Amino acid sequence: MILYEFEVKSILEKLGVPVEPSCVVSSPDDSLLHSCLRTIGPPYMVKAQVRGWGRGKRGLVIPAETEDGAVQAVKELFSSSYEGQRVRYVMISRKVQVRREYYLALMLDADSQRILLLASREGGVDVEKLARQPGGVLVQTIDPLLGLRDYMVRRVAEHLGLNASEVGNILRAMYTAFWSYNMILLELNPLALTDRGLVAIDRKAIVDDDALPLNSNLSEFAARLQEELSEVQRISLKEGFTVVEVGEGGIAVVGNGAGLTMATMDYVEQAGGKPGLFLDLGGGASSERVEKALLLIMSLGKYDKVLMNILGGITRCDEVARGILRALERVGDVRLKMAVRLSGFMEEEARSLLESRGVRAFRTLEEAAKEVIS
Amino acid sequence: MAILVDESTRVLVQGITGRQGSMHTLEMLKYGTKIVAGVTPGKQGEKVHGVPVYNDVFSALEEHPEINTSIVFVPAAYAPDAVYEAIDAGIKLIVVITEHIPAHETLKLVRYGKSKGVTIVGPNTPGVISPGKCKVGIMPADYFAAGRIGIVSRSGTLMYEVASRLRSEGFGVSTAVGIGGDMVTGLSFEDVYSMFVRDSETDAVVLVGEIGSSKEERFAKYFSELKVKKPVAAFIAGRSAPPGRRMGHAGAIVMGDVGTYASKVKSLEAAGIPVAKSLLDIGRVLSSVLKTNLARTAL
Repeated sequence: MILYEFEVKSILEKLGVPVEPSCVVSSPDDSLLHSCLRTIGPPYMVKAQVRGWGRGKRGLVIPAETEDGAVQAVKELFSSSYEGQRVRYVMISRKVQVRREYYLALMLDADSQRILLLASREGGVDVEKLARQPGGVLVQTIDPLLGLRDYMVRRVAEHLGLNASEVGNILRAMYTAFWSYNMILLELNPLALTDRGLVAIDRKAIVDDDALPLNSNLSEFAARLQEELSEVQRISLKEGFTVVEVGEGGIAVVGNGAGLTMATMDYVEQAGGKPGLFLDLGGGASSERVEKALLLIMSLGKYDKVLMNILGGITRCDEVARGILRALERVGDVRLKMAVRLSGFMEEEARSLLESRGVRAFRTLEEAAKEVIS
Repeated sequence: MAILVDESTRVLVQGITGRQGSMHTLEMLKYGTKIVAGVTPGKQGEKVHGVPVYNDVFSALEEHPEINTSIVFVPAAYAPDAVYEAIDAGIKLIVVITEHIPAHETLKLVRYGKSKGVTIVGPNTPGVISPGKCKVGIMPADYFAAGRIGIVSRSGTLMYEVASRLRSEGFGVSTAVGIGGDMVTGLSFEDVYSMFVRDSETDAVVLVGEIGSSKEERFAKYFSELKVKKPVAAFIAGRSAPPGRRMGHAGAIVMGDVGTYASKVKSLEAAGIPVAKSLLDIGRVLSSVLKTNLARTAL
């Protein structure tokens, strides 16, 4: 999950990282808006809160010299959108006089099985661009068993040409946040040098979805995300399957296991079909889960064909067949064209169950796919 | 020989009394795997399918010092602790079936395992099978015929699909290893491949990858620099997946330019590894690399 900037700010502020005065409103009519503007005082930076990058380039950050200007900017941002999502929160910050901008980040690196500490003398720009310039980014690896050591702090401070104790306080707070909130990425971009020292004026973080149910520090953020989920996302989260809308096609591809479902979708596309939905039932799907998945697909009304690819193992083919039949019974008038490929554990039982009710069950993916593509 | 698991494997099942643990203990026993003990705190003295249960790993090892492998079915919140316990008790091969362990936890336990010379397979893996010899995992054994092809895969069910296609085209498997679908895993493609290169019972390797991360790209680079190698055929899932969406596995997501299907295929092909463009082509691509290799040996 990508956190909102204001969420990351609150985490860092608690840990003692210097930040600018700011507040957040959730609508242009928010009763807090005027007292907020007065407390902070001009000039302002008015920033849409989005779960992603590239906000500045899309005009979602607006400077304002006066209270009226800020109110206008807040209105404008609430009527804009980011990647198809409406803007739900706007943050108003005191605009800080910046002498120089830097970049600091911590990143979980699966390849090296280390944490990477990245530091650059150029802030406010794309780190991928920075990384391509020689000497653009200092990369300090941190063994998770060793943690952040003083020599690493000194090395970063030296590279940035900044005071080691000031940089050290920020890095230690970042490292604490990284572990306490299961962050996969934490970015201060930019970290600004001002007349009053370093201030983290923009910040981004991605937290590990698998930590959401286990780490109570994240519950507040998880609850906020929950409110933003679509109906489809909510149901799939509850039932334990993964649904991704992949395009405009009318074929819903269902499988048990992420890799298998992806490969099935790839095959459909290669064979000339148009997949519109990816649905991974996960391992050991019960008939209830299969039933709910199919009902969900039907309720969306966008798909007229379903291709289901099941490899029995922990998943029992007969359980899947029962789920399919129950879903069909519940709906009654079925306009869905459905093809099922079943293989493995309890395959024959499943096949006879399905065929007794006129649902076609195939032995190979090729045959099943042909059925929905033609 | 085979790799990782064979006739000499003696297994401890951690989380043996749970639904998954108990069910797969039975399946593994049926396959012929030598399971000597199980662990579930508070359940010492019970038996699961005839396997004695202990409260902790140390007690199990006192009674059964022949244990050399552990398979972990413990839920995500407690799984890291179970793995640390197995490491500290001196078990050198740990297969972690558990899904949804936070990446930070995995990062620490993988580093700790390495520091103690322990091999961790997974997390989020179907496990390891050396057909006809031993299965330490949850894969349906029927799909895996015994033979001389090694399989290494990020995905579970896709590994079964590939094994079953190989079987129907007359290929058997020496060992199939699921490295796991998570971002951080104990074994990389390189780790498993280097074991296959040393294994006298493996002639060639099928690599089953998917979009997201740069695991396949790293393997391609490693492969191209190797002096001694065995042929590899690859398949990558996710060609039709949209960017920025997590496709079921925690690690299966294209972020920016990283982890795209195109980048993986390009890297592998540049390293001399042919990529089957469809599931249907895997057998054909494997045959072609085997033939080329034979020709090379003949020269």
